[in-house]
Amino acid sequence: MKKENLIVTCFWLALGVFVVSYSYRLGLGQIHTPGPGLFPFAVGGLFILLSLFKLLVALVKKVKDDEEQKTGVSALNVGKLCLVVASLFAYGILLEPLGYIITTFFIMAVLFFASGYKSWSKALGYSAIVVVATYFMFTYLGTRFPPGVLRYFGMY
Amino acid sequence: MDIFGGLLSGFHNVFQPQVLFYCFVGVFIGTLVGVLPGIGPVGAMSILLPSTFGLPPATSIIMLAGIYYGAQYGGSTTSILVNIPGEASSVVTCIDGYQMAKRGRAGPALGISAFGSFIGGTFSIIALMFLVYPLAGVAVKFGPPEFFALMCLAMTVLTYLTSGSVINAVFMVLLGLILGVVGMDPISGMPRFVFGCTTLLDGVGMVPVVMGLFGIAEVLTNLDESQGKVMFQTRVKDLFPNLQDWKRSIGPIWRASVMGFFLGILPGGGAAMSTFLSYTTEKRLSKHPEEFGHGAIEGVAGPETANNAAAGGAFVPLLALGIPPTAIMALLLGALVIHGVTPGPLLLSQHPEIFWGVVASMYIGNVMLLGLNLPLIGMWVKVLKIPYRLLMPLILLCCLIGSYAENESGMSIVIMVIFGVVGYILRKFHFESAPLILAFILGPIMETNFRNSLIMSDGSFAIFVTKPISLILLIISALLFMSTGFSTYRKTKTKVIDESESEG
Repeated sequence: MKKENLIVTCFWLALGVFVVSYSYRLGLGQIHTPGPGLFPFAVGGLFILLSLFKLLVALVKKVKDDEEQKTGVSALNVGKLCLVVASLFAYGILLEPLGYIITTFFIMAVLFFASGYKSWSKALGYSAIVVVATYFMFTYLGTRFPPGVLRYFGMY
Repeated sequence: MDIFGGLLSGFHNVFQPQVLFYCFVGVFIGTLVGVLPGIGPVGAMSILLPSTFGLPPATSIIMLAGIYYGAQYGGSTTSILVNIPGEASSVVTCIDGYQMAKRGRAGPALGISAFGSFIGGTFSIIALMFLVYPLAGVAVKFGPPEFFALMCLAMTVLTYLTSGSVINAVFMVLLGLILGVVGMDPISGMPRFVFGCTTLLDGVGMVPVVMGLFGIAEVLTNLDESQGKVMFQTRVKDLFPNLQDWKRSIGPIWRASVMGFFLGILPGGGAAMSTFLSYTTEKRLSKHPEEFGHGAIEGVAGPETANNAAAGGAFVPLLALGIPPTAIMALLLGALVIHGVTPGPLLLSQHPEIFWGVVASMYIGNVMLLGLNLPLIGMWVKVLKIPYRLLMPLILLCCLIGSYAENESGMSIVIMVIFGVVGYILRKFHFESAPLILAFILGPIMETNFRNSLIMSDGSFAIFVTKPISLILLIISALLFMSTGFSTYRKTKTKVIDESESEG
């Protein structure tokens, strides 16, 4: 068993233990009136059994790994991935306080840059077009976007 | 209402200009996302779900369903011309479709896949019509124990149909079940796995989870894979297959229609499985098996018909039992629930206009798709040339807007991104997201029925085996679980994939 598979299985085991202990505290109830914890308790138990089984199989016989596919990511791409994920999180947090137009403009510029547009002017230009177009399109479809800070300037 | 009366009223509904328009929008978007890499029908449907809230329920389902079967048509275009399957169900089409294109026969390949899709789609609608009625009649008698047993069966079949390792699939099912538990307990009202976060009290929303696992994760995966795709330079001509092509294809098309429909009913990857099965069957039956892999038209006609027939079959459990067999059907279920319609055995009697409207719209939609895909193929080829670096930000933005619009909260964006990262990591470790989603959707139904059964029987587990229907269902799932019958299928499937990789 490859090292990373071992780590994954241990992760499932830990998750199973956590679910079982959490749902035990929720209360399993009695058999006549099953409590809220009974179902997750059973599922968590299966989790533990299955990961133990997988670990056991791995320990008893040296399993040949057929899945010798590469899981690695190159350093450049890790940076790109982190940039994209971080900007998406930031969008979720900032959308309501700052408003649709401002946040979307910035995230689109970052995403266009991350996806391979080297010049900032192009990225900014495209994102301006996208913001205006999507704003009118989705407002027409009935989506209500948060106005954010622009509301103080009376722009909404 | 009898079948023909119902169908007539369905057509009556569909021929209203507004409904026709949304049906067209659905199949158009479906073809578009089928052609575009990096976004599938699941992503497109979840993005558009919020924008259909203002429509009448039947119209909104008609449009969403159009996206689904439209994508099956569009997926074949990319498989044939670029050798990139839009999704799992068009992987097989690449094998012979791309070879045909390389030999200058892209036209007939596209043509036969459109006609095959049309025939398969139409066949499955007819079969759907005749099957849903009796099935719903039986299902009306189902109580909690029967539904629990049915869920057990669904989950068992699900784990067998995944393409990866069975143990990994079981892990995903369990993870999905736990996710489904998050939120307020439906029976006692107690918060579970909420950790003080009020947004989670209503449970983890389906739209952010689906969009994260399918939309965001897909984009993230594409980000670190090479983006250099070679577009096959060819002029697409002679879309109409010649007589010889038809003679060779008609058998595969009929066999695939039947196979696709029945496999489509099964939970999980029914559509993908039916294409593999159709391909291997045709190869075995063919007088020239050596042509397969080098541009045999049967290898395009069969699988392309099968995946469309399966798309229709997938509606059977949703409309008759209220059980979604795939993630896409789960989205449709979500849409129905949002409109205040409970899918299930009673849907037919309570909302006949939805059922017949959807069925009638599928006939119309299939005709529209034929028109959209054959004469306008040149336009779709142009769409294929849009660079991914332009598409990627737009796809992400659509996901962001879609998950925000669902309940106008920034929290669902955060949840979606979290699931996007989770989905990305799962893909890296070869876990599939589809079983997770289905278990996540079916889990709460399963739990409620499990507990209600125990309350009904005053705590005796015997209730699951004393009721005949539930006993039969449980026995079938137990047998399935133990049988190795599916291993032959699994082996053939790997063989097909291996061959395609060594030859393609």
